[in-house]
Amino acid sequence: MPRLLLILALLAPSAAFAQDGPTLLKTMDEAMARSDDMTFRYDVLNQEPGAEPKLMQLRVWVKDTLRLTEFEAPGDMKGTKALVQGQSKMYIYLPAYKKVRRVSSSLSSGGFMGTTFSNEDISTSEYSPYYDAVLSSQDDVAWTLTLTPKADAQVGYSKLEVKMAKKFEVPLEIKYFNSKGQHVKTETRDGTSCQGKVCTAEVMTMTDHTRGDASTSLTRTEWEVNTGLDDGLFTTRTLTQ
Amino acid sequence: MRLLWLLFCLCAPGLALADDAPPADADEAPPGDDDDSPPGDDDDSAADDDDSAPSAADVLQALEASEAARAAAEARAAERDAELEALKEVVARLDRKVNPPKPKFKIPQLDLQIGGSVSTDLRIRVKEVRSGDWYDARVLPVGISRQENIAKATVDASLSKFRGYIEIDFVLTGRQDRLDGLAALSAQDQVVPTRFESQGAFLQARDLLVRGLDFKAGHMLLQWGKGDQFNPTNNLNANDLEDPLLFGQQQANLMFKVDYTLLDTVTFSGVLIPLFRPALTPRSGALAMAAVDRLPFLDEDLRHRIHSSNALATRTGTPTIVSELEIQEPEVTPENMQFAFRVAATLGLQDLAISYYNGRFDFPVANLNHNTIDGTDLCRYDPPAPLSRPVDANGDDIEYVGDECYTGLVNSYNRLTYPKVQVVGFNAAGEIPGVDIGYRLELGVYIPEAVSAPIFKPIVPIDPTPGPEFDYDADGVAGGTAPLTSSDQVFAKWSLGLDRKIGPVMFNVMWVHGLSDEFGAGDWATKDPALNASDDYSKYTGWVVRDGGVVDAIAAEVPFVAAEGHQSLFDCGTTDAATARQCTEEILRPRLGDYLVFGVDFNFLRDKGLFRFFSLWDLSGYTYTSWDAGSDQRVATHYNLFTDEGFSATLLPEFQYHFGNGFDVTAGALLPLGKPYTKFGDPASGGMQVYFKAKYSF
Repeated sequence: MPRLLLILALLAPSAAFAQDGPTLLKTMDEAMARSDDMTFRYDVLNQEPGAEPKLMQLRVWVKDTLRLTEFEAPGDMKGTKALVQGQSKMYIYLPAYKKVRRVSSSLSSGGFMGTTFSNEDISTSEYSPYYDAVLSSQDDVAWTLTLTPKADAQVGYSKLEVKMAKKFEVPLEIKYFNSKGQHVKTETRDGTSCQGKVCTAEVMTMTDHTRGDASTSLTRTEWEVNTGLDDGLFTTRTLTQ
Repeated sequence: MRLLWLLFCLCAPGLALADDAPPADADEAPPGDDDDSPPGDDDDSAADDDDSAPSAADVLQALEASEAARAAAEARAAERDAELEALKEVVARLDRKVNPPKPKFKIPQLDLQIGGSVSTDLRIRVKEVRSGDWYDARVLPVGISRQENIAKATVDASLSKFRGYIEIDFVLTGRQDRLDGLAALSAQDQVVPTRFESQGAFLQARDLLVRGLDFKAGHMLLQWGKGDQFNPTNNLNANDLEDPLLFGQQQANLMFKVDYTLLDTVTFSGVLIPLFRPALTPRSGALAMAAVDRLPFLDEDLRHRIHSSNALATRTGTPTIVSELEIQEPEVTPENMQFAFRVAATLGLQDLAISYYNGRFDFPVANLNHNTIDGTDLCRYDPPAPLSRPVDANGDDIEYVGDECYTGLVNSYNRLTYPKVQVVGFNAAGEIPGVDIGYRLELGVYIPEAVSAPIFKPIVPIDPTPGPEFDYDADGVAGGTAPLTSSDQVFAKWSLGLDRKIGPVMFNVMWVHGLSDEFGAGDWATKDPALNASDDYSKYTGWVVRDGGVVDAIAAEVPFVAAEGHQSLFDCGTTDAATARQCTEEILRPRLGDYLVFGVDFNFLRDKGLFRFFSLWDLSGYTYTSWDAGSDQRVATHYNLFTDEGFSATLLPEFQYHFGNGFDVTAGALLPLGKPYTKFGDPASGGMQVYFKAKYSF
């Protein structure tokens, strides 16, 4: 029997090594897209070094690559909506102006509403169309993938290092590197839980190392899966309503 | 035999996992079928096989081979399982696409969101601004120019497909302009002026009757223009220029709107606006009334005659002032309702829309000028009414050195109307591929109705020209075809904006052709390029007068005496257009100006701090025209932006700090620059001001 266990133990890594980087990345994208739609409410804590934390609340609707975010607090951001229809197609609705404005992609590397998440971070719902992946290491918990932009991809990072959970096949940690190869941000996703096969993190924290480790934490307070969100929700028509 | 059995047992699970493993294998050698020996005879059996049994090494080798085969089989099985699961997932997703799951039934719940803000706004004018001569002086003094405290409340309620929204501002203006008598001291509304404003009070239904059909009614803003703040196709709401810091702001109005969105990509909209609402102008706009030389008439010859006539009236003791402006709003009739349509769609990465508006321009145009004489004597050093001038021991009015007196005033009553107009609009927004530059193009093609303004003048003995209606064509008979103040020539206004973020700095550049208050054909696009000679300017009617009058040499002379090389003022003001042309000078600019808008936003402290520099540059320049005796014709000299005479701009540096949790402060300055006749140097712009704002939103 010990010999059998040994053999089985040897079998497991061989199966894992059969997975290559691109396959794992695609698996991760698929794992993140297992639901038809999701609705979240987040408490957002924005922490600047040496400053009082800034609190926000937002609601997020997600369907495929579409994402609608509405700020519910604080008051000066309340009613602000951001609609992502793709990496190069983003709109913002500012209630003070009662106007929908197209956001150019040069803004995508900028901070999303004052958080450490950039517009690109927020709008990226899949990685394999934009990045090539190599399996660089693994341990009992996660595979580590090194992602580099595809030749024609317009992304703001030169490299990502993604820890992909073996159990849930979703990211546990993403390290972001700028064009100079410097590690500029780290995103951690903790407390992953599942509804059926759909797994998401309870707390997502983005730490910006270029700003004295300023961080933004999104703590999930509500989460619904497959509620049948209409495609019409993710249109500019909705933003003014 | 025991070893073989052991081997079989080790292999069995793997074989069982393998789909292609013969399931009969186990049956072919079931336990106990090897022989009839009972299980307890294992040792004997082993002993029996000793002679023919392989060596231990062979057995180990066989065992390892078997284990490897089993492992490979398990791996294949695992891969197949994974593939199967993936396929099932794909099938399930496809199935959900084809047969979308019915939304989970939820009992509709009222979603009620209440919010608001409290803000304070303090502005200080740092330099006095004045316009008009002493008998019609209008002054904006140094000091507090605005002190407003605003409490805003918003209620947004939705239930299922229906929504209601209310937004109300309660404004305490802080200070009153003037208390009207002792009774005013008992009137709270005069001592503590307040007002309510509303930017929204509407109801809305989504997907009414059929999917994609939306209905909205009430007091609302509809912003169809894609441009930033300069929107020639935002015709549905009247402009709100009351606060010069809020470029592009508009007023809500009562509307009924129906939208139908097809396939979430194309939206057809129809809007009915029953009531017309005029534009709000800056408080400092009253200073423009003192500019009686800014004649609104398109006919240059007529302007020369009126300039001369006014100068003659002033020189003979009765200067002209604008005593009253009557705003003639359109009647509330079905014919005066405004309506608009729009089709908006996204093609690729470009957002496109075309629109049509039928309504009125929201800034007024003169349609009557009626002049009367008020024969009350007035002198520069008269005390303000109702006080009378001090008298000396003989009972005569005391005379002051340098005093200047007139025998009365020509009171000019002007009636203004809102011309009808149709606007065909085109909007596009998107991104220029490859360079990451966002663009916004907004074009409005205006089809206006013509407006004319009859002129009536007082009959005075010194004036030999017929009256009371002005003799427009100088044929000796009063009246004729009333002069145009706005033509029916089609014109276009547009804005083209580009924005790009580089690092923490956001750049925004716009070319604006025609600001919101500019109306009528008159720009480089409609000007005949053949009109290049300096005297050709007069063949073009697309000018607006910024300054004008008779030349100083004529005005300084006794009216009936001709200065050397000039006509007499009397001849200028009472004969024909050919004579008047020789007497006057004007500063002109196109009716539609071109502007460069340049803005920079620099965010710092993680977007908590923002330094904004916004600027608006008048590219059109100014054209000075006068009579050139040498060439015996009027000549024009153009001054561009880079000359002292042609420079005009508004600069707006601003600093914002967002403390977070809804509290913001702002400090900045509004710096209009240029000569008084220019667009931004105009006293009516309100002059230089600094401002401080704070706001808490909840």
